Amino acid sequence: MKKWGKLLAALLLLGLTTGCWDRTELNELSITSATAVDRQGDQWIVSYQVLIPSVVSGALGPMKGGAKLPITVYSTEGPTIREAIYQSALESPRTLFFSHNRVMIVGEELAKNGLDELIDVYLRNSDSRETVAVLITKGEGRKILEQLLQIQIIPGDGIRETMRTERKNFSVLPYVNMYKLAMELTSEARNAVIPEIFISGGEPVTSSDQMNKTTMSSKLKLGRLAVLKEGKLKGWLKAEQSLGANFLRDEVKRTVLSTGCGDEGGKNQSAIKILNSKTKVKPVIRGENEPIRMIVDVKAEGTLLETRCKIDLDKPEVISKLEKQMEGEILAIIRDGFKETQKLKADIVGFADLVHRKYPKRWHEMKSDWPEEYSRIKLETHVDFTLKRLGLTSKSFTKMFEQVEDEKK
Amino acid sequence: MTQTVTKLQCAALVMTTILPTAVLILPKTVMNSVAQDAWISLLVSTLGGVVAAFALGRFAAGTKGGVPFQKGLGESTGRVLAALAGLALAAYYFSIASTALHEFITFISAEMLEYTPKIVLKGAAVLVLMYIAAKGIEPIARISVLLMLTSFPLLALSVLLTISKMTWRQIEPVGEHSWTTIALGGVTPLGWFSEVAIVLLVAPYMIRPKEAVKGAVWGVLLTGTELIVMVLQSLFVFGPNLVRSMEYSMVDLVGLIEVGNFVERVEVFFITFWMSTVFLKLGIFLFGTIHLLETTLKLPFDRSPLLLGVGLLLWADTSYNWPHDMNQDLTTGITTAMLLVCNLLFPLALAVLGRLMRANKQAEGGADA
Amino acid sequence: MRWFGHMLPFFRRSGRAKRRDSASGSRQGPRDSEDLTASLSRSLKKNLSRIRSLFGDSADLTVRELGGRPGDSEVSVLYLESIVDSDFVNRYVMTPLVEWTVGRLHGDRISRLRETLPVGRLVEMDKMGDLLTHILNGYTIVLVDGTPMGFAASTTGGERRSVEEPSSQTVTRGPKESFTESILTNMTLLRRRIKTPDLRVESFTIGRQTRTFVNILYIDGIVLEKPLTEVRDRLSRIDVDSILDSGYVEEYIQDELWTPFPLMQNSERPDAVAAGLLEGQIAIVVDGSPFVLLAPTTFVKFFQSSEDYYQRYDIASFLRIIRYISFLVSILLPSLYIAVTTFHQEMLPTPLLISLASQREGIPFPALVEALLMELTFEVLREAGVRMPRVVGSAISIVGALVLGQAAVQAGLVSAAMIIVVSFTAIANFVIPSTNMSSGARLIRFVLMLLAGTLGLFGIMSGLMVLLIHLVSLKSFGVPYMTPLAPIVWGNMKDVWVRVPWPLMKTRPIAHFQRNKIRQGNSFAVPSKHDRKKGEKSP
Repeated sequence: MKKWGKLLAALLLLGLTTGCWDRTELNELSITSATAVDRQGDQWIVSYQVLIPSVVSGALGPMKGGAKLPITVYSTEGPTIREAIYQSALESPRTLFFSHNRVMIVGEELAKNGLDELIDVYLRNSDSRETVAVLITKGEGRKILEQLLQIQIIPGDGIRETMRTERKNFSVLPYVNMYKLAMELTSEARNAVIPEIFISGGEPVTSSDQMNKTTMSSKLKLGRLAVLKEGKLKGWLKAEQSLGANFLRDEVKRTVLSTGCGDEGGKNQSAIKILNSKTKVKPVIRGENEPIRMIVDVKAEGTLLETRCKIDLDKPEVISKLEKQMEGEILAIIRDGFKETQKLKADIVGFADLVHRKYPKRWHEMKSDWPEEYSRIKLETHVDFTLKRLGLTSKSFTKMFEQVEDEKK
Repeated sequence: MTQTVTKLQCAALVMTTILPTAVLILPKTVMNSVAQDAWISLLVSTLGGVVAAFALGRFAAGTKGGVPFQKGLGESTGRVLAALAGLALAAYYFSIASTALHEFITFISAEMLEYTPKIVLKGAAVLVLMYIAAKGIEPIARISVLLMLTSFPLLALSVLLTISKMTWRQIEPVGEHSWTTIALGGVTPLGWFSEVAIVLLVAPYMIRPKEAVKGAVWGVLLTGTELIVMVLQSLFVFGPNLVRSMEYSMVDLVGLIEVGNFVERVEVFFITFWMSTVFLKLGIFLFGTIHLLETTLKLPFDRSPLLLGVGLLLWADTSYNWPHDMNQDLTTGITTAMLLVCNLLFPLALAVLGRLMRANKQAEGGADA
Repeated sequence: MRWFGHMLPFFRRSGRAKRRDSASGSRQGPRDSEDLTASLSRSLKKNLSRIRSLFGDSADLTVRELGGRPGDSEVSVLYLESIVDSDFVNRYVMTPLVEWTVGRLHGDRISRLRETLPVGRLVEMDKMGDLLTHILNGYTIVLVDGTPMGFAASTTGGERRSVEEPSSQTVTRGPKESFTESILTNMTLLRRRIKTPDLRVESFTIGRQTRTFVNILYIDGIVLEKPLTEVRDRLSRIDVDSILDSGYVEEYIQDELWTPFPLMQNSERPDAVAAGLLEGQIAIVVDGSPFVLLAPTTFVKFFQSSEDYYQRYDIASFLRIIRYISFLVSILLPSLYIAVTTFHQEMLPTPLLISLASQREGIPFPALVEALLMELTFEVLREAGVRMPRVVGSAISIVGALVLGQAAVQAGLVSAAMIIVVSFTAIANFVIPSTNMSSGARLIRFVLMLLAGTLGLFGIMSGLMVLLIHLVSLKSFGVPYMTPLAPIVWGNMKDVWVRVPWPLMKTRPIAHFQRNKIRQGNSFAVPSKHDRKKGEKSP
């Protein structure tokens, strides 16, 4: 046994001294924080937002960043995605490193052609991670990468954080990452959604001169929701419609809606924050040729954020009226959103899976014809909204103001 | 030959024999044929595995403590047959070790060390395995218990951390596939479960060889439970369709874990833990090969030269015997058939034969008297 | 110092101890030509001349002849001046002897002589080898003409260090005594702590030239027979010319030579040794060494400081967990750093990755070389600190911390992160209570760093696997080294990861499978609610 120990040690040392194949030092990496993929003719154009560590860490730390920019953006071209990426070896002194890639921007042109190849790249390679957030943009994806952010030094990180915050507090757009995209595209309906990002405002901010202002000439902003059918871009949902779809997908966490005062005085009088929302969908199939009915149950709770209604919130009936109106509001949003998806014949709300689960046999009959079936679906929506809290005051200030006036008289 | 293996260690050994390779490719393999009903298939094959474990355990428990398996076989079936059986089993263990090592290094290469030549990785692994095999079954058994005890909380943790990403209804519709399809889907896992045959080697080392039955059955049950949990986990997170196309869905699953902005991309940690179990599994098989050769050939010298020879052979075999580095080796029908034959039919045939011969002998003895 | 002489017979004859004076065998005699098994001669003259020639007329060999002319005397007294208490010799050996020879008593001289000498420990002997052993250990020899026998009177003395505070195993709370170089003092310190006749002592003399006393101590009824016989066997198998410290003995009798892990504990604290004895360990006390060995031992014992048992259990448990973590850090941190920054960068959180990457800009060495360089530098500094006279010690810290650390970073030779990693590793290494375990960790660290530098985490894992297999296959005198973790012994877990409060530790850890398991009676049980209520009622 003793001999063995020696032999092992000797052999180990032999193995150790021969080389290090996979070793990459930290200063041999170009860390990408965001990538964009575009399609031009039959060529792929991949753009990278590469971090410059010394500038970034200088800006993160106590030292001042100076006028240097934290990122550099460049693109490469190739007949396949991976070849395009490897083309970067011709111009970059360092190996591209994708593990910390936060965001993947997909150009509209590419989305129209289909995302299958892109997803394949992500599932096949271990260096590209399925948790990367996916966004779509009108026009070229590269433009988004070039835009500088002010608060977040790393734009890629900034975009992802924006998406997260949005999902947490507003829930209009879903947070889509690569594996979710792949999952939705492989689900029974084979449809998926991707949120849009665009540059709002005028001239894009790409140099440090433009950064040195309190108001930037343009900003990155999340916009509509792209609808993909079988991996290809088919249409767009507006923010409100997207919220409706999100209600059906049960992805609403928190959001804010404007509503009226219960009965009197028009719309947009009070704002209510929805805190908890739970959606249950049950498919019902009756006759052979009858459209499928979807019974949707939404249970939501909320807080009153602001109101200028002249109502007395101490009274339970006033509150229940307000709740009723809110229910109507949500109902309308859901109906609108759903109608739009029906128009696109794109089942982005996962009804196909529900039908498959409940009626496995019937499903196989209608599977091939699903888009048509989907567009005929009848929605039966019941919304149950509870106003849980009123905030710190029970009366609107407008009402109080009036009361004081009355007393004066 | 010292007898120090306890019942718990026996169960842990069975687990380390079956789990490591099964974990890697299980969800994909089973879901390919039965999609969301994979867990039923697994349940069925676990039950099959328990039956196999019971039968093999009974056979193993028949051993006298301290007498190596092959020698014990010689006493019941005659020397020539036992020698043949010993060599055949040694060859089988060797080929499994080679296949699994290849599988293991392919995985490491795909996930961690892309550019390192495989022959180097395999060489390093063989060195470790030789050391493990040289130290015998006792250290392996002890570490197995430790790893087993760690694997439960780790699994629970991974479930806990992915729970927010789970969609429970992915499991529906339950039983969409016919019972025959489900049973067929369970054949491949049954092949893996049949590796419980390792108790035949372990039993003579046990303090109370009679407990081999309990050890084997518990080992299979615990393995089956963990596998079912894992399959359900990847089903709930990814859905059946995506899992089918994922080569290593468990790794992808762990890769999804994010705790705040700090703990993410932790799959390398899980791979590292998993790696230790694979080392043990391969160590068991290399030990099995060496042990069988040793007892069959009754070599006059000590274990070291044999170990060195077999180690080098393993290195060579696993480096040059595989045309592709794809993961089809452990899932093909042929491999499954081989597993079932070598692990189940062969030992059971030996058991029956041994019993018949003993009965014969007794009858003769009776006639003489 | 005088009373040490009186102590000797007590522990020598205690219990059912057998004397194993292997030096009396010819095998270990100083000269092969001299037959030491030979009996003493009847003639005093012959005896004296033989002894004189054996010592080659050594200057400190004192021979006093009484009752006749030199060369033709009746009685003679021999001792080595350097190691006896000469005052004691004069008073209790010489005076009575002179009186005795002057009185010219007749009859049975030997028995009269025995009664005359007012010395506690008086050994009768008839072999030249025995005589030699005793005279070398500070005994005074009395030879009488006409009898083939002699007496050895215990007069051991000479200069010795007094009992001081332990220097390497310090505690903030607990006994402050430490062992000294004198085996007698050390025995005293132990005997005082464990006052039971069950504390058995067996004595060996090892070393052809040094003839060092090696005592093994154990508590009969607690110790397990198998390790005890192992210890006895291995000790009596040692055949070497010198034993100058317990380190010699340790290397000769440990189970496995090729291991970085210590297979025996050593302690300079009598309380720690006493605790070990009470848990069934065997103590090996070597004359001339203030470090007492304890065997058999297990891995976890090296993480238990004696202070754990004197402090409150909560902080003791917390500190113990810290120690295990420190051990892991000390072994793994540099290699993990290398593996993660050069192989698995994806594991780092993005801000950390960027900050590390920016630090590495312009560093000329690969991370592995950088780490090896800094680790070696630290080892050099540490060694220098140990060897340096204490007065200039502070210079080391200035040079080490300022010049090497800060300047190296500013010069762009190493990254600041690497300095942090190396220094944290070094500090973590000091947390391990036992130095022999921490030095093992230092060596393993380098191997793992090389593995990490070539194969990343795969390399580390391969190394750890070998290490783990090695650890569980180790044994210390037949006890598996990793007990109670592997094999698992649930009953012993109370004193492994945490230390449970004393009243809850009813049994001894059964790693050594003692016969007498119960550590305490139920009278000290944690008061239950029921008890407390009773107490309130009856004042």
